[in-house]
Amino acid sequence: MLDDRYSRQSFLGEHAERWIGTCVVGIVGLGGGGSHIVQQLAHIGFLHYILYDADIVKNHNLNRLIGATRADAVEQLAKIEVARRLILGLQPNASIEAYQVKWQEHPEPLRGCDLIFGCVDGLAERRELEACARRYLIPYIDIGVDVHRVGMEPPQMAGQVILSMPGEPCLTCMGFLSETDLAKETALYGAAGPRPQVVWANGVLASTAVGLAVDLLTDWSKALRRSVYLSYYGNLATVKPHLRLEYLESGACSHYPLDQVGEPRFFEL
Amino acid sequence: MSVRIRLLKSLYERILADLQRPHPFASERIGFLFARMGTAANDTHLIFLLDYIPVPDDQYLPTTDFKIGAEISSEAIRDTMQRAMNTGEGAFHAHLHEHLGRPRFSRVDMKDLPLLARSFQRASPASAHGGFLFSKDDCMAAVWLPGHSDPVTAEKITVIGYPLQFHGGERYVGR
Amino acid sequence: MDFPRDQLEELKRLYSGVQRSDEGGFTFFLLPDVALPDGCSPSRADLLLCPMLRDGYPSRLFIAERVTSSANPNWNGPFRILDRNWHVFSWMADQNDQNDLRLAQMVALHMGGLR
Repeated sequence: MLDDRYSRQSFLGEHAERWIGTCVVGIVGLGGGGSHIVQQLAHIGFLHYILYDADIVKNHNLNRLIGATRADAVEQLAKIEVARRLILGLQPNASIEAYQVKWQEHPEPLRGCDLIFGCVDGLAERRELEACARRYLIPYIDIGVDVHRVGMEPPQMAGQVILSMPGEPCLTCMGFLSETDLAKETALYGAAGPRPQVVWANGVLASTAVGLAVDLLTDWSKALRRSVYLSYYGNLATVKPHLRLEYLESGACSHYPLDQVGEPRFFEL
Repeated sequence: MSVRIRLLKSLYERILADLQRPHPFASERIGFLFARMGTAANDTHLIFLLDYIPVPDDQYLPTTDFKIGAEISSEAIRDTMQRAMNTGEGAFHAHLHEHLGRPRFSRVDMKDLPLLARSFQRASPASAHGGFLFSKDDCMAAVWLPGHSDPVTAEKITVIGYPLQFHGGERYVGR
Repeated sequence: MDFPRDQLEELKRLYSGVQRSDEGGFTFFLLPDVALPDGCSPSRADLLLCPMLRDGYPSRLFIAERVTSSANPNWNGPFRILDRNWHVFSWMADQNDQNDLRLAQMVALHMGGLR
C-alpha cells in the first residue's frame, strides 16, 4: 500500500529517495519557521534529524507552530516533542536526536549534520550558527521574517532564505550580517520585545528553504549552481533573488578561509 | 566509532582530473591529500580534506611488476611526512581505479597502506591518516585514527557542492 | 588583522600562554587562566579578547564563565566562538572612546568592569 508513497516526487530523480534518506539534517529552532520545515522534511522522506529548541509550547505560539495543539500549550509540551511527534507520525523509523537546550550548550551532534537549517531569532545567533557550519563544512540554510512598523505607515513584512555554502560567500559577504545591524541588535538586547510572526509568511520561507535543500541533494532542477539569497516581501507576496547576489564573486569568502576548517587552531604570538 | 569525511567539490574535481592524467610510464597516478580533524557526537570522527598535492612526474619509479600500478620514490613520501610534521595535518595516499562504481582497495594497496599510515602517524601522531581510493564516480577511504593500528572504513564521504554528494562506507552507496 | 609587534610582546609578557586565532573575519586572543580582580568568583578564568569593532563595541572581552563580583555586571551569552562558549558583560565604560588603546590596555579596561 505504501510502495507508491513517493511516486508523486519521482521527478526528483531515480536516486532521490536514497539521498534524502541518507542526509542527516539539523534544525535549530522549532518555532514558526522550524516547525514548518520539520513537517515538510518528514513528508518528503528525510529520516535523520538533529533538533534543537529549549522552549515549550505556549498559547501565543498556537497561531503558527505547526503540529502544536491547545492541549500542548496547556501541558507546556517541549517544542522538540511536537517536532518528534510530527516526524514519527510520517516516518516511524526516523532517527531523531532532539535537545531541549540552546544548541551552544550541546553543539557536538550538530557537527555530524550534512545540512543545517537555522530558524533562530537574532543576527548574532545566526552568525554563530554559520560559523559552526563553516568550521565543519556544512551547508547552512537560514530563514527568518520580521514585521516592522514605522509611524503610521502599514506594517512592512520582510524575510530571507539564504543558502550559505562552505567555500562560497557567507552571510557577511552577502551583506545580510553587517556590523551596523549587529550593533543595533546588541544595543537592544533584552529590550526587543515579542516579534510579530504569522503562519503564512513562515510557510513561504520554510517551503522555499526545503525546496532548496531537496534541490541541493537531488539536483532535480539542474539550476542550483551558486549561493542563494532570496528576499521575501510579505506585503506583495514576492520572493526574489536579492540584488546583492549579482555583485558577488562566486567561490570566494574572505571571512571563512578553508585553513580555519576543523578544530580551532591557536598560534603562539 | 565512526569516521566521516568532507571535502569541497572543487577539490574533489581537482583530484579526479589529476589522477586521470596519463603518466609517461606509470599506469596509475598518485597524490597525497592533507586533512584536518574534528569530532561530533556518538564517537564520530570528522576529517576535512583541504588540499591535494600530486606526486611530481619525476618522483615515479619505473617498475616491471605489473601488479603495481605505480611506484613512487621515498622522496615523495618524505615530502608528505615533512608537511604533516610541520602543519599537524593528516595525510592520505590517493589513487584511482579506472572504472565506475564502488572502488575496492587491491591486495597491493592493503599491503602498502598500513606501512604508509604508520609513517604518517609518526610524523603527525595527533592526526588521522590513511588511504583514499577513487573510481570515476565514487570513492572510499581507509582511515587510521590517532593511536590506532587498524584502519576504519569511512562511513560517509560528503562532497560539498552542487549537488551535495554522498560516497563511501557500506550504508551509503555512491551515485 | 595585523597588530604592532610591541603590543603583541607586551600581551605575552603580561598574560602567560596567550595565543591567537581567527574566525569569521575576527581576530581573537586567548588568555588562559587569568587572575581576575579581587572579590571575583571564580578567581581565575580563561579570557578571549576581540580587539576589533564587533557588535558596536571597539573591543570585547569574553570570559569563559559568568563571574560574580561586587560590580554585579550585566551578563550576556553564552556566545559560541572558536568552538567554545563565552560570556560577556556590558558596563558603562564600554561607551567611552576606546580608540588607540593598546591590546593590554583593552584587557585592563574591560577587567575594570569587574571591580
